[in-house]
Formats: sequence, structure tokens, C-alpha cells
Amino acid sequence: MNTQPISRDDNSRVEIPGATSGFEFNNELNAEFLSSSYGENLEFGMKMFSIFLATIEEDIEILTHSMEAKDYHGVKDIAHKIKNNFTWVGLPKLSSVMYKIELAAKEKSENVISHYNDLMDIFHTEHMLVQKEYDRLNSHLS
Amino acid sequence: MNIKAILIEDNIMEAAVLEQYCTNYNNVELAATFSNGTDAIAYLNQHKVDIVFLDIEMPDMTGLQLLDKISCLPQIVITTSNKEYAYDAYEYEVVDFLKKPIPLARFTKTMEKVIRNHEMRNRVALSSSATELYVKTDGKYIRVPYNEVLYFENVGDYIKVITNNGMHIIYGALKTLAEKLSYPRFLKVHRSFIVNLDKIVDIEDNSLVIGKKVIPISRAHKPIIMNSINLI
Repeated sequence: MNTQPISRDDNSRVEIPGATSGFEFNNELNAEFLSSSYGENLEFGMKMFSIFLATIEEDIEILTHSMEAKDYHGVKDIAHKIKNNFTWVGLPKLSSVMYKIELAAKEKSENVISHYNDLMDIFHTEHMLVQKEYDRLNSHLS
Repeated sequence: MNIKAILIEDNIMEAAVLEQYCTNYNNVELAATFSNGTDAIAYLNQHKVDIVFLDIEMPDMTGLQLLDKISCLPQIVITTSNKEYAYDAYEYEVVDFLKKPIPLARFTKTMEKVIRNHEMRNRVALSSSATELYVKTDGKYIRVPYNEVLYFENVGDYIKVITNNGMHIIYGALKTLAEKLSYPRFLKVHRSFIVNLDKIVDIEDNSLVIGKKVIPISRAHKPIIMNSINLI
């Protein structure tokens, strides 16, 4: 039995021992989580990536509109609703930022602005990573 | 043994995860998925369901508000990102509390519990008709007219049937019993009690009296009992 820990020191790709798909998730995402969630059912993984890509831009737009309108209740609701979506595509850091936005909005704290800016600083880069991973999954399965 | 489940979840990705997990169980039929509480209540009022996977924070109401609005409580599995609701949820006798994002291993553990409960509830050794029930005690089926029953009390894996003339003990779960009783004057007032409304002496705050027995009324069931009595 392979008991070696999974290395995430570099930007290489990680395949979890025991997973049978032969697909290695990109280590720039949370490859360990993705492999344990989808390693034996890549179609399901592709479905999750596909839902994320189909919905996230509209959700971020709703968040942005709520921020501009200083609608704290709206910000809290949308942040709460979508925060875990990032985890399911291997972006736990964005889930944490979204959780901070939710909490700050709940407390009607001005910190919500800096957390929102933190999110937007990296959102597009991370979104592209997810798109690339979806394309790789698609090509692996077809 | 088929277990009918519904899912109430306004996040499409979280719904997809639970739908996928349910496909691992041949005996679990995921009958419907709802993205809001209002549609789910309409469904629950018309269909018998064994399990509800219930999100707490939804756009039109909270999951706990939904539980206040349905008369029959199936097995409830709460799904949420916030642990702060755990205490309130246990007031509603929920089976389990799943924190999102939900790992498959944790879901599997919950399902073991749900399936075990379902099997136990179906083992109630009791049959009923419109005016009476038969309880199996000491190898005999004893006829008990509904109007002689004071209340049913759940004690561990057993149910005490308290009547005008004494007590019978049967094996089973109160929920299964509630589903089999066809007498409209029986009402579940607490996770451990079903009472005969015609035998109530008085109701005060969160308890009622039948004979000399003080029976608790749970917060979840209080509105239902107040709607069932002729309050002037």
C-alpha cells in the first residue's frame, strides 16, 4: 500500500493513490480534494465544473451590484449561497474570502469592501484556471 | 424497502452533490428537488416522504420555519454551512446535521442512520382500522378501540399504549405508529407522545394533562395542537 503523503510543493499535477480515473488534477487547484471527490467519477466532476462555470459570473455580478448599492443583506445572501461553490472546483481560498464577505456584510462592517476587493483581485485568474481544468477534463473524457 | 426522499436546496451545486450521493443507494428514491420552501411545503402536504434533506438558509424561509409549517415530520437531515442552527434544529428531532461542503464519507454515515431508523420504524407490530387497533402482546393480538386509548408513549425501541383499562407495550417507533393510525383525534405532540385529543383535561404552556399524566408539548408541535382544538 502506498503511504506516501501527497506532495503539493510544486505546480505539478496530483493523482491520489487509489483513484482509478487516470486523470491528474492541476495542483494549482486543490487537487487532493478534487481527486477524492471526483477521482472515481470524473463525469460527476465535469458536471460540477460545468455548473460552476455556467453560474459563477452571474452570481459575481449580483454580488457586485449589491456591493455598489450598499445592500448588505443582498451581499450576505449571495455570499452565503455561493461560498462553497469555490470549494467544489478546488478553490478553497476563494471560499474563505467569500465567507469573510458574508460575515462582514452580516455585521454591516466596512471590512466588506476590502474583502470584496481581495476577491476581485484574484477572481478572474482563478476562474480561468477552472475553465482550463474543465477543458482538460472534457478532452480526457471524450 | 424503498425510501422516498426529497431535497430542499437553493444552491444548484450543493443540490447536484446530494443528488449524486443518493444514486449510490438503490433503495433510495430521490423523488424531487426544490429550490425554495414554499414549493416543498406544497409537495409535503400532498405526498408521503421518508427523508427530507433540508437546507436551513433559503430565500423565502428558513428550514426551521418550514418544519413549523408541515404537519407530519419525516426523517429530517439538516444541511447547512453554519453550525449556529444546530441547537434549534435538535428541537425538531432531526436525524442528523450535515455541514457543507458535505464529504461523501459523512453522507454515508448519515444514510446508515437514516436507513436503520427506517427499518426499525417499519417493524411496528401493529395493525389498525378506522375505529380500533390490534396490539401484539405475549403472542396475542389484543383489540383496543381507539376511543379507549389515552395516549402513546415512546420508550426506547418500544411504545407504551395507555388506555382507560391499563397499558400494553409494543415494539416499534412512534413515527411509524403515527402513519398507521387512521383516527383523526390522535395527534403527535412531542417526539415521545401521541395523544388522543378527546382525552385531554387541560393545556398549559408547553404541557397538557390526560388523566393524571402531564405530557410535554414540543415547540414544533405546539402550533399544530392549537390548530386542532376548538379554541374559543
